Amino acid sequence: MLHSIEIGHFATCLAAAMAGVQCVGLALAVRQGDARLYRLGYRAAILGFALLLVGFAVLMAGFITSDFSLVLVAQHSHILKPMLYKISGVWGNHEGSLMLWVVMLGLFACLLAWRLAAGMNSNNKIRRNTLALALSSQGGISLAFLLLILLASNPFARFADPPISGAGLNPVLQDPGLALHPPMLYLGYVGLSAGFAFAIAALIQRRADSAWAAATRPWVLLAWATLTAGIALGSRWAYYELGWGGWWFWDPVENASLMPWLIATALLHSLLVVEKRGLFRAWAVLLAILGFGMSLLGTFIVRSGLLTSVHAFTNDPTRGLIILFIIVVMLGVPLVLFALRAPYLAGNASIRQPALISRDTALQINNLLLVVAAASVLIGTFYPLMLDALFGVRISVGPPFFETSLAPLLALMLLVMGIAPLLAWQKGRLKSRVLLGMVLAAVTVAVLVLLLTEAAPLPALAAIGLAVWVMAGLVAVIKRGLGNSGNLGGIGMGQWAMVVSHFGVAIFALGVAGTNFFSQETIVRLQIGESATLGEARYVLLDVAETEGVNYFATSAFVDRIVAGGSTRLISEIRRYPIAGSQTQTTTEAAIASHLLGDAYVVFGGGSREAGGFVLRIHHKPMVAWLWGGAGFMAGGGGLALLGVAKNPRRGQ
Amino acid sequence: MSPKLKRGTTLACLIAILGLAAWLILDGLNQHVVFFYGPSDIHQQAQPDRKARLGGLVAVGSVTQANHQTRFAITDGNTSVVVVYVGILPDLFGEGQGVVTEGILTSEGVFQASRVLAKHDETYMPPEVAEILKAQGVWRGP
Repeated sequence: MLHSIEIGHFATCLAAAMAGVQCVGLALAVRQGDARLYRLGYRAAILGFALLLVGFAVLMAGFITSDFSLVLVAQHSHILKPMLYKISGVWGNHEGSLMLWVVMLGLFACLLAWRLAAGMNSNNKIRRNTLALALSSQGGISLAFLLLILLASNPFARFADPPISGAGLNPVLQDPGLALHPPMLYLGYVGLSAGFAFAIAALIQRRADSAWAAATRPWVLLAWATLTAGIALGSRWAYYELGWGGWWFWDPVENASLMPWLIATALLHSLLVVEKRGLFRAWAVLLAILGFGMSLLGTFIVRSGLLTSVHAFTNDPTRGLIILFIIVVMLGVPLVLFALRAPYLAGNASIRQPALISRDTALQINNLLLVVAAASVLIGTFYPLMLDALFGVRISVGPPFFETSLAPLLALMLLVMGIAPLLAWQKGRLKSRVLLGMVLAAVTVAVLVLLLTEAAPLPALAAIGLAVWVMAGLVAVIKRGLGNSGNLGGIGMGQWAMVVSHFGVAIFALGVAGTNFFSQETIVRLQIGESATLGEARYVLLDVAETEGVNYFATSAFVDRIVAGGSTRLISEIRRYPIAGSQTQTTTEAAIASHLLGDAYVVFGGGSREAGGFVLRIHHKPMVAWLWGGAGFMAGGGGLALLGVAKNPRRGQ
Repeated sequence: MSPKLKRGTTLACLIAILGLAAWLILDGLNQHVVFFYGPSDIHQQAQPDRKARLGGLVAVGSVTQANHQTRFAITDGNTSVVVVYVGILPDLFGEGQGVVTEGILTSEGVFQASRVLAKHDETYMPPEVAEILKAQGVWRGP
């Protein structure tokens, strides 16, 4: 009898064939204009996605039933693991995460195919061909990664002689964060492939006009919103799981997600300019290529183990070479094509050039700043690798570099962001009364903060002032919308989307100011019953006890946080997960009391009565929740913009 | 503004922003790059008062704790350097394990670490540490 795993393996092989059909078939379809070839192509894409789902489902079933004849399950799962982690364990390893990646690619191809199928009856040949060429490019990407999976990192590999028990999933990964963060992030990364595919379609058709931008923007919006949410989820996870109380470590993998995010943000804004004004065409196409390029570069360079990172899985270097080859081809070919075709993309000369004070110019500056920011993250991340390869010097580039080089760029961005939505396209005018109001609001709040905290550093005040400046600008936008129509309904969905996203950025900036400049930290050694004070709160160590979880043993510290208004119980644990034999692996679970204005964060550091007490590390993290809240608003704004496009299909599709 | 002047202004802005960016990046790298050393070369190369990274294996039997302060030795098999660290150690810190620390070498030759870097899983060895061990001929990995 055919084993179910073989069915999954076979389905994945067939999906690779379908990706090939999709890639070649649609390219031929556009060349020959044969409706049957179009149908063949989009059906192959839909069938390919179904086959990938079969493959993925089989893999998941292997994890759920703890089928240790699968090498992957034996290495990364365990019978005693809770169900949630059995399922999310599918992508908590190199092979499985690649599989998730291609499933997401398949999903986007399927959505594109659906749009193409819907467009078959219309007479708009250009639009149909744009979609077909984009889908064809997507097929090429899918094929490359499916070949990588099947030839060099097969998740369906089996043991002839299966072990009785599995090695278990790394305890750090046994967290609900694993169920959410990678799929969301991958949706974002892979979603950028749609923008990339549309860019290739534009280059082949020598056309990147408003219709092209309108067709591309929803895909980039979807990718951008999920990428934002994915990054925020990862940051939140690292914050509570790694126990250092930080929310961003400038780890290469984090940078790898930030670079495509910065480029995608620039792309979204420049697509708007292409759509409304017909300018920035070649630039938008270039950004679409680079956006996906960055997501490839980031994920796969790090996954290949070339860079030291907390995310690196133990890995085999030949995979790294194959991945490098894929990246060189996938970035090199479109960039050469871009160099050849960019001159043909230019808009017609009748478009009026923007004035210095105009939304066009503001978005141009914002684009430039975002791209420069991405470039400095890129350099900071890969400089150590280059220096090592060229001169054999080992260095690392840490947070100070990224912070000092990005902070001024972000400040400038916020400055422009405050006024850009108030300006008209082509030639704008700033009312001095509005400008004065914004400046007053920003200065007032900054001065208030200075008075309340007594000693606030200048960068913190600048960040707070600029955040208020942005918010005041948004209020002015809403007020103007109200003035024009008399009610809130007069403000379009697209406008609301912008307001919500920009509001999210301002909230995020406030979170950064609060967390990075006003955090407090202390390490104390306490006997049971003793207490320590940090800020206005007192921490009492009530007890230290041995406890037991589903698949781990723990030493738990019970701490009461006492403030004037009452007390909160905090429990921080040192967990020991039994793995093979008598070995255990240890993790520390921080205890966090989260409030809108700040978190109390307690980490138990072990100790004993005899050794002088138990160690506690206590942090106060003001406004840390605003970081993720802000990101939530940004992603929500992206969602609203998508709704706006769906409600008004004339513009998008 | 004439079109020519406008183009000139735009170009000037562009050059200004790119120049600022280049300066920020280069200056940032110059100031904040942290060099990585093994126990054998840290004495010769580290500039005093400058942050550096020191990596190797935690020498077996060298870990002692007093108050919040942890003392241990990082070795490459031939030379070892004493490291002092105040704070809570990462979960996967252990004797005989690979470790990377960041800090400053004091004039007494003791490495004052401000960070001890955690690893993700127990089989993963930071490539820098593997390199050092290979150079000293004590590498026993794959």
